Amino acid sequence: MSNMYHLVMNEIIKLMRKKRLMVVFLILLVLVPIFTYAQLRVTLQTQKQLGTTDWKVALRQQINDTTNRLSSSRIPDEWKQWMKVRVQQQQYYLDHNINPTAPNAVTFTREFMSNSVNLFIPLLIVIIASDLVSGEVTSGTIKLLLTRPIKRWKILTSKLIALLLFVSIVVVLTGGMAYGISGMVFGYGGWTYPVLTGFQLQGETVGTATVHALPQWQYILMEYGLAWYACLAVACISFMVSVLIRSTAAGMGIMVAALIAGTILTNMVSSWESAKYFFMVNLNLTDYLSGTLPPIQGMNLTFSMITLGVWSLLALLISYSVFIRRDVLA
Amino acid sequence: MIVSIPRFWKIVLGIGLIATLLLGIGLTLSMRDIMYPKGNEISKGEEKKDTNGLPEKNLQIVALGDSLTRGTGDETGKGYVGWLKEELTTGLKKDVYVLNHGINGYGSENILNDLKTKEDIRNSIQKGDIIVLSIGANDLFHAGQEEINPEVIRNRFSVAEGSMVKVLDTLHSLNNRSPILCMGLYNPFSDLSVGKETGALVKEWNNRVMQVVTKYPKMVYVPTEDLFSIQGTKYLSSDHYHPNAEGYKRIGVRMAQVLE
Repeated sequence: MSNMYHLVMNEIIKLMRKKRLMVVFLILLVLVPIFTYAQLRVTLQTQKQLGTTDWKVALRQQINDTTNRLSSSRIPDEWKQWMKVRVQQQQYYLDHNINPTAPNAVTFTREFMSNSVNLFIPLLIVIIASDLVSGEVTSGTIKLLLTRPIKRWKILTSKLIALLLFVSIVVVLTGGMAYGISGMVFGYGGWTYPVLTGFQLQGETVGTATVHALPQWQYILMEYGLAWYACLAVACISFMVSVLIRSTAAGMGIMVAALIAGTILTNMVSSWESAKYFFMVNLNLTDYLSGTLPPIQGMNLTFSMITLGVWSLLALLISYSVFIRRDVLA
Repeated sequence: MIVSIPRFWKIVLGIGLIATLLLGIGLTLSMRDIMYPKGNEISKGEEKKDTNGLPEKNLQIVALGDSLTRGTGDETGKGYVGWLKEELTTGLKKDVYVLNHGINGYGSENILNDLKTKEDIRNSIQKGDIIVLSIGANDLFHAGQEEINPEVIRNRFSVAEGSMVKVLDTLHSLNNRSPILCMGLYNPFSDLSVGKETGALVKEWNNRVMQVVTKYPKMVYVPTEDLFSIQGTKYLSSDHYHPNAEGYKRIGVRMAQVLE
């Protein structure tokens, strides 16, 4: 046990040495202000156009615009369905006098995660995970590690535990940075503002029987929990890639390609149902919380979590079996 | 191999463990919430006072109606409401803002329903300085869905008039201090074989609208059929039904003339 403790310590120190957290931190430090500024511009532009700061007016205009786009015959049916669901939700927010995008840092933090859970955050995870094993192979330090009288599965497990901790840190860090930076512009309030969840989607109708309001802090806790689960899956898979592929650059490239393919697929797979078994289509777990229509019919939280779980377990299984048998010294 | 162990690795470990715990709790909560959602009474958000932080020297146009109000067919996307805004901005040297509630395919029943059930639309009409309205086209013509049959169209008159009267009445009861401009219909089918008959129908409908409108002191009927009567198709968009940019501009300019 103390054996494992020292191994994990070793891995954490190695990860710290590589300054990957610093890279993630700097990326966020550059990008979050950009997103904050973009958000601010959008808000100001709408206010200027409508001549009022009343959010209800802006929301009504959004509903009107979407409703009008629905009548266009050039829009595919799946998009229409998505838009219809959205209009009904927005109307529900309006009816209950709740601003779905109240301008404050907490809302920004919430929106930021729901927009970045399928690509941006997973990319940050890939930065950390992709050279865990392959990096050591490239630099040759793996030999030092493996010549010690320690079982290989223990070494791999210690790396996995360190990775898990760093994934958690990255997710929390993202939230913290989004809150801290956007708050300078939007103000730090809004923790108790209500958010609606529990919309039941059946086709294009939105059931509201189970809708309930949550304080925003609780919603964010839940949302980031879901994002964390998605990130763990990404971490496990990039971990496997780093075991299988000796070149870190190639491994990273594979992961990035897979993730980007996921966002492209999400936009066009609705007619190809079995695409829902890809892990990258299932990363948008936060959508189930906000009640956005999933990209493919028949997807729900249970399905996505099981899919991601199976992918992760398979990835780990492959990682272990390959790592234990591999002839490293060759 | 002698390496100094960074002291703060334990801090990282601690933060990592706390973060994991926190996110784990969040995940459990959301799984429970999504899989077994329980509805509860949603208290309405606090009613905030109108925070209109903009200078007083502005005009608020509120537009209500169908695709004509929306501006369908106008390649510039303005519609008559947009052109009206432009004319007024230059003519009155004021900031003019538009709230457009026009929805494609809306008939007078839809408008009436919105006016009854949507609190924010009612509010905006109460506050509006100018109300513009296009109504009736979808009650009479079901464009693109059926052959134009003058007999059928005539049979729709009484129902359409009934709800049109209700809409105008509701508008008046909501706001009797601002001018309300009611756009008349034009004959979009002048190039078809039934063009003459539909032209007569449009005239008859417009007469009925005019008669209702005159009952209210602040309401103005704005005719448009003359604008499209001679050079009809020149001002229509490619769907041969909605006006094009030039057509909308002429309607908008006319409305601005009424107001200035």
